[in-house]
Amino acid sequence: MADTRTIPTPAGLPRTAPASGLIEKLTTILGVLTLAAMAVAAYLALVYAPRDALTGQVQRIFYFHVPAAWVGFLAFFVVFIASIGYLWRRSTAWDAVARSSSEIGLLFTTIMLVTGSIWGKPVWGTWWSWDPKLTTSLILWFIYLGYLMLRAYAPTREQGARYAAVLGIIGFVDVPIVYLATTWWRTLHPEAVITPDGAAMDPRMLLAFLVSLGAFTLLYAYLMLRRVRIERLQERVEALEDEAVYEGRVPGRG
Amino acid sequence: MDSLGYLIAALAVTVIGILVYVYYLGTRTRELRRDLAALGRAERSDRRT
Repeated sequence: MADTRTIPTPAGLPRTAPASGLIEKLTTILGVLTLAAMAVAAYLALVYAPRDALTGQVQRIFYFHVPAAWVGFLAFFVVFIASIGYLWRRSTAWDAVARSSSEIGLLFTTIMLVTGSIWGKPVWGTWWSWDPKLTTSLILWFIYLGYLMLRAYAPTREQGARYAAVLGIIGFVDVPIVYLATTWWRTLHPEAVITPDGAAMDPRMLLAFLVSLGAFTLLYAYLMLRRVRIERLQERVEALEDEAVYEGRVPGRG
Repeated sequence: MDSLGYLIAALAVTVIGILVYVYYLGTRTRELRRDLAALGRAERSDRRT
């Protein structure tokens, strides 16, 4: 059922927030589901999955390092699609999706880089190596950090959205390069353990990994719903402020 | 090779990173709702006068 709470908005914007109550209920349900899925994933990864014979307990980092990388790639793919959508339609909804997804993608890419570095120390004997997989991953992180900075320092919101949309499309080129780095170049980083031919791991490890992947994907969806909601609220606040300035009720910004 | 400390550190980075971000989202949403309510009150009061 649509929520019809009245939110004061300037002319040209709807005076109600249709379906916002439904979205909030969905967000809450998704939040509970995500929490449950994360708890199950943690149990499977830390207790149920067998200890790796070669590297021991530290191998369990795999169960959140790889899902974090997956969510990063997924988020940047959403930025790519939303950027095309924005340039095509010039709709603020596409821009809100791109901005939100880039922020979440950067968070998970940071987690991927840090957990990978922590995993590398006991296994490779070093925190960092300038090998192709790690280097292209770091470049990916810088691309989307630049993407958010571009938005923050653009003279107007519209210009920021337009420049960022172009970067969101070009920047995505690095995602398949990161993924295929282990195939294209000789690297310290292990190759993908799940291929179209099957999974090269114990079935219990595979289960823990797949549940963790699902839980992280749910977490991405949950964070996206909440982050996009913030973008919409921000738009309403800015529109109301602009209307107040236009009507001479408050002095203009700057 | 059993480096439990590294596993705990990586887990802590992941959990803290996610929780801090969720906290930030909550704080930002509350701030914006407060701003929206204040702007709405100001608008109604201005229209009355």
